[in-house]
Amino acid sequence: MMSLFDARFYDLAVHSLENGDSTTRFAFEAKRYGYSGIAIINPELNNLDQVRKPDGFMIYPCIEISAVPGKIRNEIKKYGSSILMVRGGGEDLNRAAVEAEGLDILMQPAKFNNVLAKAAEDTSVALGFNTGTIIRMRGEVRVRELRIMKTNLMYARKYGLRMILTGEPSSLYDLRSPRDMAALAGLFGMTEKEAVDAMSMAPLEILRKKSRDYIQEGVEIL
Amino acid sequence: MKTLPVLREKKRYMAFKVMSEQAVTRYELSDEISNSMHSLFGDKGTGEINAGLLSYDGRYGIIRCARDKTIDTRAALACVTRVRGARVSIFVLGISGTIRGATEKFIQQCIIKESEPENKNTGIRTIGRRENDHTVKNEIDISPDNPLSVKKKSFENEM
Repeated sequence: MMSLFDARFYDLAVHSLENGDSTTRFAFEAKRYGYSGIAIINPELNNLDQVRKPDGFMIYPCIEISAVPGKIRNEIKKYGSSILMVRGGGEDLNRAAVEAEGLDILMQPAKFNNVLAKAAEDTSVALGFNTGTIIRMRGEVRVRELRIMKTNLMYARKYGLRMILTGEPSSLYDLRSPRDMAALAGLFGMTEKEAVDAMSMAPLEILRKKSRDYIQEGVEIL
Repeated sequence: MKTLPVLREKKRYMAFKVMSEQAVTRYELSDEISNSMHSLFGDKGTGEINAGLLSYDGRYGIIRCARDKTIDTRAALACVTRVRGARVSIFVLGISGTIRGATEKFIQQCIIKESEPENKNTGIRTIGRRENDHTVKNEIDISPDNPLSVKKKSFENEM
């Protein structure tokens, strides 16, 4: 029987792990949980391709840009071949991010609105949803995060934005299986289908976009 | 008195595996799960979920929930992160309609699977072992399930 969960899953925002060994262990565990690949945020290891990993499992670099709104474009030019992410922040930052051609993910912006959503639609920046906040927080903070995700989901649906679902794990214990991630996404109204797409189709699309650059520029990403 | 069969609530049984830094007792685990559920769904939601920790042996366990609340239960289990300050995560192996099904289909399968690839994968794992002994200690740390096999292996390595 075909299930929704027979897809290739990716988590594009794994926090950098201490060393090669823990990255290897994480990769094996992620594979067991049903992932086909991960992207590590600002990896400290330069040689990600030399990290031991399971067969068929991929580890990509993901650059989190933390610059003043005016400098985002420069940063995008600098790291164009990696997955590029901006963490949602103030209105100026969010606006600069969604208007930046070439950016891949805007992670959990707090004050999203229809103008930003329209811009994100034009530049095809994906909206990131971080279920890690649901997992690790309790009480009022979590309520706020759930609300943010609910409104972001609304805009994503309305403007057909791509969505990326990630747990932002920083250790083995933060890792959750794709089904668990879908269940967590259900807490703020995401359907199972949307959650699966946000973990398999949307990341694959971003990776495909990045590998096309490879042919153009002759720079290989992992 | 027995409930009438038509009025009996439909249930599902979820087999899970606990991964933790320290040993977690049954009491601590059930406390933490119910905490997580209360914090996520409140008293009303928790009542509807009708959860109960049926068995737990320190690593594998089975939790009962209402048939239409499996996703909520999964979410609540996913939100368990810490028990007494030690990091913990619960990995749901599968959902079944009977306790026997959950045990046979998921827990036993998982145990079999775990013991098998360890033999096959030795190639991969031993590389790490040979490189430095330190990783071995770390590896034992995460999977304290069958200390026997680990002991046996290190013994083989010595040979």
